[in-house]
Amino acid sequence: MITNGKKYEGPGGNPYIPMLATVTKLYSETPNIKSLHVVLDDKEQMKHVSFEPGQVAQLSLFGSGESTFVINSSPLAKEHLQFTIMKTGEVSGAFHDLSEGAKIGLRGPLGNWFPYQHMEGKNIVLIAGGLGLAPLRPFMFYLLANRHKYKNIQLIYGARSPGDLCYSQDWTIWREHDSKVKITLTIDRDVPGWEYKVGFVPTIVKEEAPSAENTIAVTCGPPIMIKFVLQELEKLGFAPEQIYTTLERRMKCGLGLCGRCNIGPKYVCIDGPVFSLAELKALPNEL
Amino acid sequence: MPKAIMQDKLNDWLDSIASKYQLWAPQDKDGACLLSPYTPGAPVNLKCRPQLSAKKALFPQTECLLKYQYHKDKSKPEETELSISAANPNQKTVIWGIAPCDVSGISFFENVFIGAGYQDTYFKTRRSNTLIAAIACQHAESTCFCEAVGGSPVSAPDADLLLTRIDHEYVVEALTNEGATLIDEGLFTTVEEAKLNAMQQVKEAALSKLSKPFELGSLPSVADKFLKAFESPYWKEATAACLSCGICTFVCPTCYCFNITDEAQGMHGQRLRCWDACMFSTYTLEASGHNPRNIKFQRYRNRLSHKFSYLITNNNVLGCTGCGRCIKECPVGIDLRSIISHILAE
Repeated sequence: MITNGKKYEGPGGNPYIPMLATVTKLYSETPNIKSLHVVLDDKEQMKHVSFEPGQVAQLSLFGSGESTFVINSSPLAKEHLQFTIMKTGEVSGAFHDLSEGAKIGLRGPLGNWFPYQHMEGKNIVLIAGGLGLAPLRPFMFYLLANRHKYKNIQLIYGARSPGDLCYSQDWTIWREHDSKVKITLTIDRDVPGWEYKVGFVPTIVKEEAPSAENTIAVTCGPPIMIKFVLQELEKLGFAPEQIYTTLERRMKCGLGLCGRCNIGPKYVCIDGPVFSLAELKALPNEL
Repeated sequence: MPKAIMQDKLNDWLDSIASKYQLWAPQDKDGACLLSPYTPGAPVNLKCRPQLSAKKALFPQTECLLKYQYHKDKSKPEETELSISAANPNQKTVIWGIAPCDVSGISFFENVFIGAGYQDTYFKTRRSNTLIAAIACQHAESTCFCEAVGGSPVSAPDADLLLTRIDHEYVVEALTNEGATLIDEGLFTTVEEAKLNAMQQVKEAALSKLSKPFELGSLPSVADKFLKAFESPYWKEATAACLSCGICTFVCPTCYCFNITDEAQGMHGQRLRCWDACMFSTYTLEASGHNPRNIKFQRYRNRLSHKFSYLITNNNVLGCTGCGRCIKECPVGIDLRSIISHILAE
């Protein structure tokens, strides 16, 4: 587990109580995915807001409930926090119905993050499917801002169709960054006008065959994609210590107390969401 | 020195406590023995072990975490303000007449809710405003096994007072200074040596009544055995009859899983915390439809592994007080003791 020992204290020292915040911008990424910009109402707190790439927060829509989302804006930008929400259940649906100016609550940052210090001097391969790019987005911003500390960077990103790819405004910029940043896009089935790869993400991983030599792979996406990506990476010679993923589980408290997000003795909310494959292999098989 | 109080003076004592504290005491209600809020003069029953554990006094089945209110200014309808306020359950409370296994349950909650990790503000506030008067247990049932999990029916080191019944009298030992303040001098008599000896004998007799269904061994070794048994086919066999009804979690003094939901009434509402149960399939059901513990044996395995392995690894504490309620109440007769014995022997 990687922690900086910092815990969410909460107003009055009560970690169940959110900080009040305002939705300043809301826009569609895909037909069922929206991103929102959130600014804490306490200007002092917003000025000092700090989080690590991969950390999550609990967003409250009072009257609907609270859910966990990864903070996907750049950890270096302080003007707002960005979250991306797929319309799936009651709370996420209610968030989709908000308009700019809506009042919400935020508890966070919570959980651990990508151990970027341990990855310095290495090649980085990011592999994402669909909204799985959300936790890798702040990590990519971090890597590009600290470009000299890392070698080659490749992002393999896939979705069902071109319209299901999130954050197009970002990866169009990332691929122009420098010659050693490579963005590989793929969709499941070909459509007219598509000029990039076609095929499931694990297949493209196999095709691209990133070298395991001095490389760290980080993957996030639907569980079935992660499963096959891990198999391909192991075939390419990646050791479990070279592979990281970030997990989702049903969560309520985010504090390691309500009980539901455990995998064996580890709680995804406080010991995760980021785990190396080596860590996961040491846990009971209950993904 | 301990003091003694006659049985017929108990209500006078409790009335006096109830004038200063919210008071919980075991009482016969609706055909069951329950730990309930005390009303002056109500008969108490110290010869039963309440059907539900004492956790509800410090961790209510439903409690408000916060209240929220939206404010709409009709002259500026596009702007809505929001305010929230946290609940502060700081009522002075006495939990009176509970058995040592239930005191252990409260100590367990202290470890998990106000130990090394995040602090549960609500439990912490309640606990710091609560005194506990325990009673040495002389009514061990066939399902009791507190000694096998490191407990004792006749000592409760984390209580403030310990009562021991001798015929129609109760000897009351103050275990803390705060506990001593509950002893109302006018109602109590001093205790002579003969009575102290009688108290000792009563306690020894209670000890000899208990069965010890298994030898646990060191806590790390128990944690290890349960972890190694994770893939054992035995879990399916042991839980074939399970109905996933969750009664074991409901009556358990250490089951603490909870849910958080919002309850809205127009422009205002509250965020509630309610007991939840890891035995329910919806407990871990994700919005995507994925469920990591979809099958009942996985849920039961998680419940027991949590109590006998994960809590030892994370908190160095066992999640079982040996109260036996889950055995007594299980509608299909699943016996925790035999499952523990089996895993320990695997």
